[in-house]
Amino acid sequence: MIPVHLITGFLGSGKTTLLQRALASPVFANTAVVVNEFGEVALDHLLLQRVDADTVVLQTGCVCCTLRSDLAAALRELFDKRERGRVPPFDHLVLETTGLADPAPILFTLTADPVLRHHFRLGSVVTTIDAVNGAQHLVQHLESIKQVAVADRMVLTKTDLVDRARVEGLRAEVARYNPTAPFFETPDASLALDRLFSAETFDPADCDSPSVRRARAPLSGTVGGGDGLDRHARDITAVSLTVDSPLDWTVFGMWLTMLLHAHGDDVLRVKGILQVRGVLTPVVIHGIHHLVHPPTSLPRWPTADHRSRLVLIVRSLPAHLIERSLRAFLRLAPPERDAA
Amino acid sequence: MCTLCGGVEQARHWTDRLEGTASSEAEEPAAWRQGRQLQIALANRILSQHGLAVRDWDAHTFVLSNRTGQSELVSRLAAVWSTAERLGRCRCDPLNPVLLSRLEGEEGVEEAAT
Repeated sequence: MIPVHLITGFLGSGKTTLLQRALASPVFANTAVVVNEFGEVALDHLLLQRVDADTVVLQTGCVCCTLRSDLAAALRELFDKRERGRVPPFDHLVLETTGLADPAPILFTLTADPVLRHHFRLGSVVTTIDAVNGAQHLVQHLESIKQVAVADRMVLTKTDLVDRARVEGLRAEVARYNPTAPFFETPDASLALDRLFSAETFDPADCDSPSVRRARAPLSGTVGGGDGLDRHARDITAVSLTVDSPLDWTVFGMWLTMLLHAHGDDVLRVKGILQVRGVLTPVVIHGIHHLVHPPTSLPRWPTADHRSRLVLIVRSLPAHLIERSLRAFLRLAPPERDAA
Repeated sequence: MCTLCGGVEQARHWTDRLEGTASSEAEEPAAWRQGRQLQIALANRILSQHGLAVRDWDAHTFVLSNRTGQSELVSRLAAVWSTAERLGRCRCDPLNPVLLSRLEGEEGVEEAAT
């Protein structure tokens, strides 16, 4: 399966500059690139393809269940050329979205397309945030908040143009919308591009970070004004749940499918590392809105802590009810059989 | 497509795909059937308050029925909730405090015999 890494971020936040830098690195020697538009920053890359912004809205009318037919066609064409030997056999693909693009339909396209889902999988979602204007974007544009919420990695750009206090303030602000994604900064000559686009997008230690614990309280008083967006933004909360004993996969699946059925529009992101009954290795789960990636297993637990940890970034959903609901469902599981 | 019933084979849902566990009947029939029976028992716990019942049909499809006997076939668990809302004229919300109070007062589901 070829990982599709997503670079998203607001207009002018440095997506193409980051992409340009990544492509110059030997780490990205076998990488294909798909862009929405050819911007001002030139990309001189062998495997460059453009997509048009055609979308097909499915009958559900749901924001995330929008098929990006343009993207599906572009990826199919690229894969076809790869199979026929007309382009080098790339093993990574980087997709740069437009500044206002919502990443959820891209994930839907990768998981719903009958051809693509057998050849591509979502890699990491990298969101660029402009240190000069990022705070303002968060106040004025819900898309900017969503791009931060869905990120696996966040890159603060143009940090050399503002003072350190402002960078730290922006980091604190952004971490309140997404406390699990690690930060990177540019310009930084030592920027670890391999870590930035690593296929493994879940670091369980992030679930225990102080920012996650702080974020369990609803956000408040961070953005000015009093308009709808302000209220909308303040209602975004990161909920961190820890379960001590192994989960029953059937019960957990039933709970999460029901939660996403009822509230998927308000679940911006789900990520977790789970200890599942009968499975020796940790199971990693990722989701955006109603969509959940096929879960994957890590070869081993990254730390001595083997408890299940789940982080949900939600909008206007009470954290205490989410936790109560998960625990009420989990206690319905039949008693665990003794391990053979 | 199934040549007997005409049903279209569904792609696996994320709840079906878990490395190290039985994800299809062919891989580990007993564990797979047990998981399916547990799904049905849990769904009935949740949906019974709306007068709805779920049962198995051909080991690959769920049948959802309301009190008037109206039934619909559902291919996978994730689709049960929207069908239940239509048949039961209810809302399937795991954050509903009434549902949670009821579940918190109930015993766990018995393990299904295989």
